Amino acid sequence: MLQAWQERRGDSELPRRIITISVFAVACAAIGLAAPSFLTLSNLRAIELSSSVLLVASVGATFVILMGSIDLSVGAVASFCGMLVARMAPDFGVWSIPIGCLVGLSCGMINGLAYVYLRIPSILVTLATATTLSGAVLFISDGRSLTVSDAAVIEISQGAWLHVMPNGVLISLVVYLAAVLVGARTRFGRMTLALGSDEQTAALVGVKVNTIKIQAFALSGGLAGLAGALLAARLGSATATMGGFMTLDTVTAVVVGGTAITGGFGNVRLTILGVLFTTTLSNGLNTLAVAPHLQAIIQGIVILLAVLLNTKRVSAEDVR
Amino acid sequence: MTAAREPIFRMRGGSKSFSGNSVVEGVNLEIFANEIVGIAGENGAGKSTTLKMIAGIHPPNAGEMELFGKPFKPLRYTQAVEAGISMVFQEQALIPSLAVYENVFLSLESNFTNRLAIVDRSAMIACTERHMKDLGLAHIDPRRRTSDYAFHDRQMIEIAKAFALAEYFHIDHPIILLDEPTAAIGEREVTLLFDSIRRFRARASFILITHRLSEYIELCDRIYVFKDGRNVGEFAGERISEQSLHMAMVGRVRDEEYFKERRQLDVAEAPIVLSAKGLGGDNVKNVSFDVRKGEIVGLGGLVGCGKEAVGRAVVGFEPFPAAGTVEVNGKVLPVRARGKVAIANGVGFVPKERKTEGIVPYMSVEANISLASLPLVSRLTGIISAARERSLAEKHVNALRIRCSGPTQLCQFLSGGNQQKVVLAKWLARGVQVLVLDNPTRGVDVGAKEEIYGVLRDLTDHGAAILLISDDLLELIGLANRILVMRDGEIQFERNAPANDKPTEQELVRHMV
Amino acid sequence: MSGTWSETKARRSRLRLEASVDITRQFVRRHRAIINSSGPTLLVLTMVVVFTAINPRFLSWINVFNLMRQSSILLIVATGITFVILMGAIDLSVGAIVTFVAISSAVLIRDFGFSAAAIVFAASAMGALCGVLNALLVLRLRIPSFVATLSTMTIIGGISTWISGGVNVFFRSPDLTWVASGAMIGRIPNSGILALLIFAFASFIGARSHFGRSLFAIGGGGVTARLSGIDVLRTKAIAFIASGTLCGIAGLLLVARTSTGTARMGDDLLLQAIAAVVMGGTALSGGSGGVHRTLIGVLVIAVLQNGLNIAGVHTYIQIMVTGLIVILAVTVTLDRSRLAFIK
Repeated sequence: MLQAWQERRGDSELPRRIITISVFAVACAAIGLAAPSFLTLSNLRAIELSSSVLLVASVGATFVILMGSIDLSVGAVASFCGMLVARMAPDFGVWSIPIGCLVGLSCGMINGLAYVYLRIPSILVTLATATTLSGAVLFISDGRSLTVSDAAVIEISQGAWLHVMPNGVLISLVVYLAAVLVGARTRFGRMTLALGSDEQTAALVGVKVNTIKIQAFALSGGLAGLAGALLAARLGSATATMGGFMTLDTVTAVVVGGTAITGGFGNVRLTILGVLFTTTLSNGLNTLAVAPHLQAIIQGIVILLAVLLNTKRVSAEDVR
Repeated sequence: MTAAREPIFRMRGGSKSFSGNSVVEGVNLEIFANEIVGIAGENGAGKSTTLKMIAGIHPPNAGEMELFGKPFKPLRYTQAVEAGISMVFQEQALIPSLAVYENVFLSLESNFTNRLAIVDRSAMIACTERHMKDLGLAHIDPRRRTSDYAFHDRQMIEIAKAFALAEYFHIDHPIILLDEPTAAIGEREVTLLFDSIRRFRARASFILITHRLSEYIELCDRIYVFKDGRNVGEFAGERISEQSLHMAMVGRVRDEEYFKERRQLDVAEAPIVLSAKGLGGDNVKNVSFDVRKGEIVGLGGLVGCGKEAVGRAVVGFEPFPAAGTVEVNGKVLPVRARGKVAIANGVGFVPKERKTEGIVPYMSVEANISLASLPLVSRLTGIISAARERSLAEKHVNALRIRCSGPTQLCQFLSGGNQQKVVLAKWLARGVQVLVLDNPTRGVDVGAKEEIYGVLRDLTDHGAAILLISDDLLELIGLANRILVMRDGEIQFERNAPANDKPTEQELVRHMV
Repeated sequence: MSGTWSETKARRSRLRLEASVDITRQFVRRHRAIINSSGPTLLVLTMVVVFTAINPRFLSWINVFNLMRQSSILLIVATGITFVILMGAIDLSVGAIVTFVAISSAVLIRDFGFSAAAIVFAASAMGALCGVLNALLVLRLRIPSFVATLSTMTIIGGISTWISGGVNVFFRSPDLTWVASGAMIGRIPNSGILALLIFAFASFIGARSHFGRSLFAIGGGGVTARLSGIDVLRTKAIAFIASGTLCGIAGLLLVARTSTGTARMGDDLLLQAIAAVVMGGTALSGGSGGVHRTLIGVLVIAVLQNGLNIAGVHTYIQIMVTGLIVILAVTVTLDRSRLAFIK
């Protein structure tokens, strides 16, 4: 039956996926044994909530990574937009969130335009935008943290329209599902994969390479902005570096999910696995009272393991 | 038979040059409906470029084309596809991680998209499925990932794509171009491919380029022969024999002066420098030979016979056939790190792909020349002496007449012939006892070729043993003391080639095919 | 009627715009080489002129020495990362290594009473060790350098936080402070001299040593280096170790300046180092440029930051402007003919 399913999906990496999931399950069981409070409903709720923000940002990052590029400005965009939302909330109420997204989208578009037309490698472009935005966020906040007191904004994250889950989680799931749809069923989604896989062929058969690239970065920026807004709504406050963790965590989530860091392989669907893995891991480590520095170390090792498991590696003399 | 039919495609005076080098000149050809046409010729004869001109990938510099009676001037591949011409590429222009139907309609999805930007998959899948069935390819599931299918099926997918797009653009009778479709597949797949092409010819015309003469003869109605960028002949189906085809492809008057045959040494008594025994693996089966001091051994054969792999085994260029032994001056070269040990024992390698294997394009001429001899140009350990490097470079630039603006010019700006001379200079600078060359004069102009032949003779005068692997028969015959012909991974024929008794090309070709 | 007229007008102005863009592009292409090499220098000169106009103190000796002192750390780090970039790889862990060595050195001096001489040795060793880690991941486990150094950046960052225990680490070492902030020759800061010496030595190595030559050959792409007998593995390993060691020295210098080790103190250096290398004219894809070019890139950043300071620009705006100027400078100097497909 597994065979039939595999054949229908044409998914030849199923065994590896199973390994990742089983490792995950075992790790969860182990942590649960060591700290009973890990597997409680309230803790699962907490995981749900904290992963929602990361999910939104990771989904955007996935498209960029599928293309073979990288967006190192995700954290800075999130912080900036989150802070923007905090500043605007008193005046614009719940509308500050869409505005925050749009600002994120514009930042992403700047990344994309510089990448395509100025032909600056994505590492450098996104690092530069990240720096600029990290200065900008300090500027608009004056270096202080701001409280989000607007009820409507907080409702977006912590309210419960559907009664079964917090709005923040709901929104992130909607975003995720929409992204899966986009990734599987739209031209944009399939073309990001094509670009990462074989850009030359794609250009040869007439794919609008530049447009796709700009769109991918814009989307990444927009979703990073949304993530920042949701984060501010959830925490009820905004600081200049609150989104900083996202830069690395999104890459971890995408890579752990199974998408190749070099692009051309993987899809958005997988990213939720990576996000769950990452947040559960850090939540579990927190429950075990593992110190934050150790968590960072573990995270680095996790990335390495994910890459080791998931990518074809070349000979040592040819690796770059 | 072919009464007063009008051709569906015609090229007149097609010419193309790259950076001032003329690759194709004054080509005339015609394609009729339901025809399978072959274009034969050696490496560098311009066949692939001509095909790309027809497909709009390299718009011609001169000449005109007519398709279905109307002028045809594609500026891009997509325009050619819209007009009815599709190409099946050697490595397939398919994105491996996309599904089959996505590859078929790549970049045309907008025509299946609704207002929400969602693509109508079922329509694309149904269309693809229909074409697969029509072509007898029902076993290919449009939903599966393209990388799941083997090479042969992927070729079929590209052909099906051509038909699907032809229908999409309302073309009744597409022309499908195939560039070396059999280069990387085995006998069985070749048969399958040919059967399919014969079946499809009722609905399309095919233009085919392959290196295997027997395949041309088996499949094609007509064959054009290209030589040095020109169309030099046309053969109709029945009149072709492999020999005559090959003669038309390579036949030139042999010039003994050109290959400096008089400088060929008598090496009967010379000691053996390079000895290969039982080389195997990777399509190569039990190849053994020796090369003596001052001798040039030529290794020839059709593309895919395994001669390149033999060269790689000798110099240790991974991946190489690892079975068997290679000895240089009695020292056995190990399998692991063979490359380094070979170089340390005086083996040099002039590879086929100059730009990625022979030179570093972004480095200067002098830096490239000293690359294998860094200790030689250093006065203190580990520090290169600019003066020594410069004089070494100048010495070789003069000796080999390398045309460059100076030793500091970056290699990327040199012509192919001069770049090849730099590669040679690199090994001359180090001093080699064995030199292996893989198609050293490919893409090199006539004058530079002659100079390179002179260098090879100089090397033999100094006692080097040379293994020359080449597709150029005249070169092999002219230069070598002894010629080995390979076919299907084995040495089929060996012939001494002293200056007064050189073999003819026919003699060698007979054993290649 | 009026519709078509405005259409024609719009089309004409668009054509005019396209024509002028085309002329500019042709001009740039023809003078590419000159623009590339003189671009950063012109930029520096322009900035010097502008900043001096804003505040004449900019060109005072005191400030020049300040500039040397401030840029010494970046110069050392950028020099180290140039080796790695030349061979076509990247080292994202440089900032983390600087922070790590800085904090570890602070702890070693404060808690273990290391002398200045000993700490210099220890700092270099720690940096080298980080480089070894990178080399192992890339060459042994064959993980692409981007991911490998991304991971080591995280891991080493975690170790730094652990060692510091989350608090600032104060120490006292007069010898060290003198090395970092003192002045042996007149009023020229020691750190500046040290950085320049390291830079000069590294430039020499890059241009004239077998190792340097091998870096270019490997970075040039393809397998030519391997086929010509270059020991690719050893060269790559040395590059990573050199980068790590230099980061170690920079870290020591950094912490010696303030006698305090703080978390993240070196993290900003990553972007600045990469930007400096690229602005200097070394291609991110490797194989062209050189260690000696990095100096001008460092100068661009150093002059910019110092100038903005002197001009009294707010810190936050400084950060913003730096990011923007980097993009501008890189745009001008990037050799796009080599970047067929940028990633």
